[in-house]
Amino acid sequence: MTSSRRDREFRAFYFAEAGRLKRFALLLTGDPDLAEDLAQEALLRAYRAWGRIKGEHPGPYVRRTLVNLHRNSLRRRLVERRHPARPPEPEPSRDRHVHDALQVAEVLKVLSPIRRATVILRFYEDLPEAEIARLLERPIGTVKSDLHRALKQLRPLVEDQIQEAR
Amino acid sequence: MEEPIRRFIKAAGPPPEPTELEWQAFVASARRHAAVRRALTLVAAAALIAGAAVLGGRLSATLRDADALPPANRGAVRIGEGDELPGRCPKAAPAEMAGRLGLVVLLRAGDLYVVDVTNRAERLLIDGVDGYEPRDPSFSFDGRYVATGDGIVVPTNGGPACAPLGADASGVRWTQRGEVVGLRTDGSGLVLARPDGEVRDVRLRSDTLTIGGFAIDRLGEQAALDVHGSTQEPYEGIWVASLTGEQGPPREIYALPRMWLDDQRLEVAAYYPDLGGVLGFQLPRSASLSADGGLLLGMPTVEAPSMGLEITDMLPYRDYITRCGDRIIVAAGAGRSTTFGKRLLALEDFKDRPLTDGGAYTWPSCTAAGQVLATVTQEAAETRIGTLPRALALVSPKDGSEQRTTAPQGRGYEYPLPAGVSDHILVVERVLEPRGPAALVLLDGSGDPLYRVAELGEVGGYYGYYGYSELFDWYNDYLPLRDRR
Repeated sequence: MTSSRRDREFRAFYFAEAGRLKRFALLLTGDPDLAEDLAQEALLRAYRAWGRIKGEHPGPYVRRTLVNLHRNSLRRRLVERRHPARPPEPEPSRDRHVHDALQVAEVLKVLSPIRRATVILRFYEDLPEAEIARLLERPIGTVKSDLHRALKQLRPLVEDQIQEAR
Repeated sequence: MEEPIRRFIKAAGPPPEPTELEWQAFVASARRHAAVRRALTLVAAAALIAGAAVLGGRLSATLRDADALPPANRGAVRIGEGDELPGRCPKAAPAEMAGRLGLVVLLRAGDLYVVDVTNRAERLLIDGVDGYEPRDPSFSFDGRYVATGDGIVVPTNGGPACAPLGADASGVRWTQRGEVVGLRTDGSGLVLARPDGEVRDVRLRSDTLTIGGFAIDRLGEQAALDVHGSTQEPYEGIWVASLTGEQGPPREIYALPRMWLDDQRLEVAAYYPDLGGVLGFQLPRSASLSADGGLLLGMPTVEAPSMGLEITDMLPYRDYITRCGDRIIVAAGAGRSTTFGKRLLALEDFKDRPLTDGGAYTWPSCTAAGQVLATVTQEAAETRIGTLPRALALVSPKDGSEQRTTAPQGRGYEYPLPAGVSDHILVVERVLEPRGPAALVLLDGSGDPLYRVAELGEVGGYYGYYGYSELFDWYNDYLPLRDRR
């Protein structure tokens, strides 16, 4: 496939998915820099594999890639590909909801990474349980039970947040 | 309860809309990645042609010919993401090499190269295309084959690739008996095969338990496994299994107490059946791991009281553990920095004693003479991650006495690998300020640099830790004597 054709096709996908993917990554990691890196890497992989995935479901593909990248980063600490001599100053984000998202992500940190991904896909992305099971390659029973346990874990924390907001 | 949680999570706000500027930056970045890969391949090919022309005087190729695959690269295989490969490989001839310094297999720009350490001749072995990037290469013990971490096997001299374990294996390693062994991606068991032989299975035979990782002993006859339960039936355990099928089914040697199951997990680190135990990590399921580390536990493989080994501040990297004769050497210490705060410990009969007084040591390995070789940071504090002048320390495992070898000005040495019997050392040399590209450099026994062997590709890193063990492997005549990674 020629680059220009791939770019044309991928452009539509990028505009539909990149923002959602970045928000998903931010909620998953609670770290704006890491989220940006993971989302970028997942999109680059989708771009490289576009010829193969475009006919299937590139949306789940790119989310699955991101979840796997995140799991690998936790497991092997190998996400950062380069280390600048000194940490760069964080760039101001044009996304005015970053602060809100980080507050939510902070609470979600009580969940294990896979449970966190399940909760975000269910309650932020509004995916049905069967779709989450396919995306995360887990039995649907496990997804249901993960959601049940996650709700149990989150309940007191969310109630605290609501109380504080009042 | 679902609705309040949904409302709470939705408070994260709507996703940002991508802008045209971001799209253009993304495309530029994607094209740059592709261009860098192509350029590095061409440069390597051009350098090889030019070197061959100068040395032999027989090739009149010029740099313009770089588009054509040079003769030495004609055995390279192109592999794309999702390509189906045959299950059996043809028999491979002994690896061709110019001397006993052997060969290095390394990754660069998504492709896999073999480099002759004696004359530095490079050859492209796997040309990764269409999103496929080989990772974690390793030589078979006889040097005839190279395997990637996802189970693709290719003759070292070049030729058709195969996937003897099928497309469903990860963490692939060689045994001394000439088999590749990998973990089934569904975690149901290990799978083994010779490149030209039948596939064998070592299964857990459980509906609820899965294997997360494994370590094989130095003979490749046994494996230790970290075994995990399901959400409904939580379980974390370390099991051992025979890879030869002679000692019955896998069996548990340690189970994490129930009270820790919610927030701790186990990972196998190394297996030493002849020393009587397995080393494993007990790790928190939280971000505190990177700052505080986890436990390194010693678990006996025979019925015995607990080994009592419990190092409390260990980062979960397997290349922080090496074997030196009957001792095991570990780099322990909390804090996410790779070297700062890490001390060397010697484990004898799984009892630990300090080998260094504090310090900043990491990546230990064992030389042919039984000395411990490690990377050491010269400065007291690691404030500038990745740009510190790291050096090599040769430490006596008996009394901790030490010699240091520093890199040339403006460079640092990381991740040394000693040869199996000779006193040569292969080490990663980095340009420091700004942190620049890495190369493999050969040192002689006194630490003097002999020559640069090859440029290395980019490697994933975390606070100064770089996954070099997944980037290259060194084969020389004496490899079977060296403890494998």
